[in-house]
Amino acid sequence: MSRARRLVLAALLAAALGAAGEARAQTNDEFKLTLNGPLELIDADGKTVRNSDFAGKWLLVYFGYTHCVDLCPTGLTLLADAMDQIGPAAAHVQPLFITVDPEHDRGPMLREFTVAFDKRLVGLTGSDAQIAAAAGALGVKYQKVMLANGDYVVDHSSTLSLVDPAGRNALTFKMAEPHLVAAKIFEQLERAGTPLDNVRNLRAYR
Amino acid sequence: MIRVPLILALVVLAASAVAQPQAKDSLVVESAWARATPGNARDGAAYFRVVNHGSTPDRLVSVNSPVAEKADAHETKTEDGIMKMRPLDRPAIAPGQALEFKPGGAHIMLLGLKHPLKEGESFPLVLTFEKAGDVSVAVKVERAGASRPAVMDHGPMDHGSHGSMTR
Repeated sequence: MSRARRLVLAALLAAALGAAGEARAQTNDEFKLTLNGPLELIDADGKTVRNSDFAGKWLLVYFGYTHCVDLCPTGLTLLADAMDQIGPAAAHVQPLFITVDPEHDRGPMLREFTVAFDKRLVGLTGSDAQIAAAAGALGVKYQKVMLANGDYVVDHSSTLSLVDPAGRNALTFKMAEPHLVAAKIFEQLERAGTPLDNVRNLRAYR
Repeated sequence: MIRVPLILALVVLAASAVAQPQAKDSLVVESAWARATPGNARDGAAYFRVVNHGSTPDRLVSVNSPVAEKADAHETKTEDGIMKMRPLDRPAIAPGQALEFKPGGAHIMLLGLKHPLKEGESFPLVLTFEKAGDVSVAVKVERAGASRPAVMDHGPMDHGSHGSMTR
């Protein structure tokens, strides 16, 4: 689909939803997903990790890779800043970094990488199939591309995903400024009935 | 009253020695900074702004730094929601224009770092332009995920950047 056509479609969709009184349009910027099974990955210690290991927590997931020096550090910093902004609600959220370069990103270096951004951030890797399954489940696309100079890059969706504590539903949305990510987290947690009484400035995000 | 010109001369000398923007002919490279590298990452990113005050276009031909085995200009682009990073081939700087290297756009990828880049340090970067030749700048290292060079403190938290004084 051409860019112009997509823009027209998005505008029509926004207009239709606006007419129906829905303030938040479902656009290209975010989409809901239903998970068919648990996400299964491997942590920096080589141990298998599933959603259930973060019992009762929402998962805030960023896909990237350590050989990415421009975009991924920006994304992880936004994620860390959003975690700071949600204050006490952060107790309900587990931030995860899932690599799209599992061949390279594994072992202790994965932890050394994530702690540089936030001590709460857990880095996960896996087999090619495990990464593909997790990315597919959360609507994230990625592709390794070899460059002429022998180096490589991994093209990937610039999104964040929020998975509910039951591991059944997820929302994947476009990477945004920390306050917008915080607002999105509050919105989802509130809708699901996660207690947010101790968040003092909640109204500022609504 | 011979002292005033002497002091003036010293001040001018001192000022030129610490002047941040380094001019070579009409090209000025300013605000050079890099991100601290997380863990033992062997790659890093550096950013700056090049302003062409002259009347002829110029191009950034190559980049070198003693801290890295290789340095390449790259660009981040978004296509259909997918972020792609690709090498930038000899980016041009038109007369009267500036070329900005910043997060999410053009950046210098430092490959094969000889040691991690630590916040607060600085290192040399040599930019070779087609016409202006070599321009050397001092690159200041900011925190790992910084989105811009710090002009002021980020906030009330001290991230332990003075830790080296404990020994």
